Amino acid sequence: MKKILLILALTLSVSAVNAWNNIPDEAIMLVASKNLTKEGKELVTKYLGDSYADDVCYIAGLEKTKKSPFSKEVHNLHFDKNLKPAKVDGDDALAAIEKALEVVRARKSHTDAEVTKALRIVIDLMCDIHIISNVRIEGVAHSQSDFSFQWYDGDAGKRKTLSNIKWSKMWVGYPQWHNGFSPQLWCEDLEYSLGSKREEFAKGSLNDWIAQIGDNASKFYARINPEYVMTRRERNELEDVNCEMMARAAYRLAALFNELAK
Amino acid sequence: MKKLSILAFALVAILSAQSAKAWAGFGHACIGYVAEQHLTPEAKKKCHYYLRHTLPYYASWMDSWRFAEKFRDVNVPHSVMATNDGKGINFSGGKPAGRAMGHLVNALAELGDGKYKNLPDSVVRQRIINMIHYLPDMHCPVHVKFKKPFNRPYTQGVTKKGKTIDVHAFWDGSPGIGRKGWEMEVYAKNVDNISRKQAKAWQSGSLEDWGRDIAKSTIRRYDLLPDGTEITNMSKAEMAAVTSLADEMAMMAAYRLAHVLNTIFADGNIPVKSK
Repeated sequence: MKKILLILALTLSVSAVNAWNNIPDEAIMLVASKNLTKEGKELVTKYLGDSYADDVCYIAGLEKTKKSPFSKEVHNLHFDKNLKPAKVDGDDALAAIEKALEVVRARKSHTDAEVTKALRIVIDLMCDIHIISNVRIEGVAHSQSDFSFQWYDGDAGKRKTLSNIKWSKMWVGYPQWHNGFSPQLWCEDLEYSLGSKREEFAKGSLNDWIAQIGDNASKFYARINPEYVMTRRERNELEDVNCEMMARAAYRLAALFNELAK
Repeated sequence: MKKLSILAFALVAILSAQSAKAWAGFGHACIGYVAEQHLTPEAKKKCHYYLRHTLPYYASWMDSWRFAEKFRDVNVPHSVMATNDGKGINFSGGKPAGRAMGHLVNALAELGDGKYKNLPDSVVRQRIINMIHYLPDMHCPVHVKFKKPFNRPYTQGVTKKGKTIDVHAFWDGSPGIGRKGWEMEVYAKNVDNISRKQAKAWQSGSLEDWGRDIAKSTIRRYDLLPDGTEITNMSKAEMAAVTSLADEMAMMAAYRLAHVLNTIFADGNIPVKSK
């Protein structure tokens, strides 16, 4: 019985993860694929083919079979007190992305399988770094690990109850509010809602994007902590932030592939 | 040992409750998706201009916001009251929660006949978002409140493995019965096989006619899931009849939602009363 309890407890704790699931990640990759240059498309097609279902959530897949070369920290982005990327002893998403990009840039001296693996790592981690709860900031204690806070399940009437929610679960859980959405439909929706901002989101380099992500996350950490009580309205409104981060991930991924293909 | 068993059961219950809740959202999203497939190019363009999202994205918006601060009073028309004879829909009766038809009448008066062009974009947007939810809600079997002698409480004695279930939640989730993991496109491919003749029949007439269709169809729920039903004892045919009613009402809602939006954005209107 204790074993069953342990398995169930692990199942619950695993659900508080640091990644959107494969549907939003595939949608992000689909949006990216629609915004590739001819050369970018050729690069992606050569190493990933035309279907991306097996390419997204690559590291998460390795983690399930305990074959990941990384620790769980690889999904997170670490910043120092000045919101500059921090060098950490363990794994870090930015460091892993840069290492994978080196492989893709020097693809002529690598096997196709190595390049494919590197591209999959880039896709997975480019999605993950756009999740607000995956940002760790030095000096901000509650950003160092997941935390719970309270929110009003309803702000009025019979549902005026306070419930606990995990910081990570709130952010990664937003896409699941739209049950039945396929990656294709998410892709269509993201293009409708935020396609007009594709140039703004993809402007600059990887370093500029990282700076924007750190700056953005720091504002949320300044306001929301384990003592915070969130209203239903605020939680609903934050879904727009999550959608925007998904779109940013998609258009930046496209820009990255286009740059790599040059 | 007993305590551990209870704890294990509670954990399983938490996990299963999360998935059960999501099915209701699935039905709404499917209706929004099917409706979108039947929009005219002009209506689709206008909907995307105002919404900046697809129709299914906003399918459950009203459920997400109905309990939020300052939104409760304006976002509760999720059902309709049947008329006293049980053969139609009351346009203004019941608590605010039962006035979906009244909201549809008001929205058409505001938006129809080209009037949407004179309204701020934010107002048109909000009216469409609400309509995407409450028009389908009006067609959900358990969202039609019948008066005596037709009604039976929706928390009637229906059980699953001996435990009384919430019949309301059961019907809300009925489009998802036996369809775990389905995406909207799969649902549409399997269920949206409506003939042109049928679609035209559903879309024609006035809101009063639509109300009569809704009452006539949804009252069947009492016969399909009568008091004392044990869900696990239902035959495949009996369960198929439940799903069939759910699908029929979902398609009726989807085709009418598309028709309402197509009409509004063609500067037309839907008559409220029959001639």
